[in-house]
Amino acid sequence: MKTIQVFVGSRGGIWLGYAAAIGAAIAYGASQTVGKHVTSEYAPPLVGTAFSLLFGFVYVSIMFHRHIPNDLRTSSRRGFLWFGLSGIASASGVTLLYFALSNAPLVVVSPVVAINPLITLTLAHFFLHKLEKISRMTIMGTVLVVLGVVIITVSKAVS
Amino acid sequence: MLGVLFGLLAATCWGFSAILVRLGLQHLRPTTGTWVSVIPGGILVMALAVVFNLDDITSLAGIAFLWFALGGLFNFALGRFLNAVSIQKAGVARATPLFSTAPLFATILAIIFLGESITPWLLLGTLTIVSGIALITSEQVR
Repeated sequence: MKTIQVFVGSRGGIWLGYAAAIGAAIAYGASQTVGKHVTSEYAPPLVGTAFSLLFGFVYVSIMFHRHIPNDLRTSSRRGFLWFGLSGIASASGVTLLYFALSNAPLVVVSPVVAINPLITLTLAHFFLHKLEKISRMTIMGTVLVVLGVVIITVSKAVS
Repeated sequence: MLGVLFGLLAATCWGFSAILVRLGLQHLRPTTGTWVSVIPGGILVMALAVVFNLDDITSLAGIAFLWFALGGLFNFALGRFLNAVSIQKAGVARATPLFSTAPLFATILAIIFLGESITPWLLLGTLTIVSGIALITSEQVR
């Protein structure tokens, strides 16, 4: 079983990481726009997410078909466990969001959900202290990002 | 109150999801990791959809599947994979606030494609987010 060494923090790599994070934000933003159209025209949120996940699985299987069989044979089972649990946590988050939205208006739920990066920082402090150092600059930047997201989501929900 | 509690639990689940991806990346590439993460989530959400929305599933219009396919491409094939790459390269603490700016991009796309208007609140929120990103990315790499 192999273990992959992950280097967080090399200068070139970190900018690639920032670019990937912004790329992910754009992709998630596009999926929210598509999701809004789907839920208003065709299906409830849970059905839309279920079928999007099904299509996502097909895409990812095709895109990464060269890596998957080899990693299934040679990689540590721990990696599969952590990623599998991450998928369950992520899907549970989506399901809980729907329950939240069915019990409270968007204007109340969206700022609560937007604090997710601050919760992640707190969890990282407790669970990843050997892997990552969280600086004051990162905390201040995260607070500003959360504040900006709250301003945008609440102003949209109110209007 | 129940809505706030569920919202907090949702945010906590996503927080744990990012932490678990970081741990998983110690052993697995982002490509295969993304593939693995989609499977249990897909089974869970599909099971819930069948339990709660079976009537809606059986009466879906054909065109809806094109939109599901588009949503799957953006959210899971691109979003989740880039999310894992960003955590691998920049770390959870620096990557999470950046990819949580998705509502800003959703709003920008809605302005471009759905004709929504630009408001002073949007400008203020954008300015605040950009300031936060500038702070995070200006940090010296240790």
